[in-house]
Amino acid sequence: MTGIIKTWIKCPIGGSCLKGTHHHTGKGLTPGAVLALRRAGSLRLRGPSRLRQSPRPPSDLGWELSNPELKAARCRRRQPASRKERACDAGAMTPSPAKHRAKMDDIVVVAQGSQASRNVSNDPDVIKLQEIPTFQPLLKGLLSGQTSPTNAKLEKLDSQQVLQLCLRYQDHLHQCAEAVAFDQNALVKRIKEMDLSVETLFSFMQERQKRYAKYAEQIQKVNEMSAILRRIQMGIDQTVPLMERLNSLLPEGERLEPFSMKPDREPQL
Amino acid sequence: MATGTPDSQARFGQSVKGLLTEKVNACGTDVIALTKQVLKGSRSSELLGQAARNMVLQEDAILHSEDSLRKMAIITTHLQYHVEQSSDLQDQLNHLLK
Repeated sequence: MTGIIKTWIKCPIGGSCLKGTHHHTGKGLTPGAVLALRRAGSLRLRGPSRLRQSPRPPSDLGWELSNPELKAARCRRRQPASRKERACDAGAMTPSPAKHRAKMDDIVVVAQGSQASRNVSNDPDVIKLQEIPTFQPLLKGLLSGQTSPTNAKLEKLDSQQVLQLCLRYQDHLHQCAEAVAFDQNALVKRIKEMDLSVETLFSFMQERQKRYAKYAEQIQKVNEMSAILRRIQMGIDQTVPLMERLNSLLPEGERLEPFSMKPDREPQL
Repeated sequence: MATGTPDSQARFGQSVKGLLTEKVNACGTDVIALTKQVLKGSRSSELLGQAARNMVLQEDAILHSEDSLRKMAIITTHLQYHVEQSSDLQDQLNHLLK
């Protein structure tokens, strides 16, 4: 009768287990129990873990410790930033019971977090922040607080340069005003000259108009005289035949000479 | 800075906006004073005022010239009329003397 000798040992969390294995099914393991089991030796859990979840995002998928070397390697892989992990790195197997809650080994990952958009250079908001140029505030004295050199040096202009600028501008204005005044005075002179020439021309034209008015008047007189003469001629032309008839009716002894208007004969009375 | 205006760091109880406003007002006043001084120094207003006064004195001459020119225009029309008349009369006289 040969049988397998099974060595039973007392389990740290209560009950008895076979040596080398700790099978606890149907029991909820507290982290304290887990720590005790780990201290005792290898620990393997099967089935869904019912341990409390650690607030830190764990990087491992599972929660399996079968080898202290693996456990040490896992501790080295993780970021050795916190005190608790340093304790893990040092290989100290005796953290205080108050801190066992914070051990990385206790962390159970429920869902893998997405890390891709959390990188620094990929974030569009961060890129926009970095693209903002550097600028100074308006009142530079307020930037540094209460220091006196900033009060005097950062807000004043160079007096000599400003003086040069103002003098140059003043000179420019003076020259412009001089040019305008010069042109204006030239215009005034031209106006005076124009006025004189217009006056002389006007006087010439007035003289000529008076002369031509006299000539026109004389010509008008001549015209009238010629009209009068024509009328006279017509009258005489009408009257002379009548006079001839009258003369012919008179007796021979009293007939007058034939009428003529020639001036070289004496007028017949 | 003048003692009348508060120092930009002396009274930080005032808001930054108030300090900025005061600073802007002070700068504006200074610029205005500077510009007035520059204009006064360049004597541009005096020169231009003198030129304008001379121009105003010539207004009378300008009006007189305008009047004379109008009269001349009338005289030219009269003369044209005379010329026409005299040419007609000349034709008539030639005809009479034939």
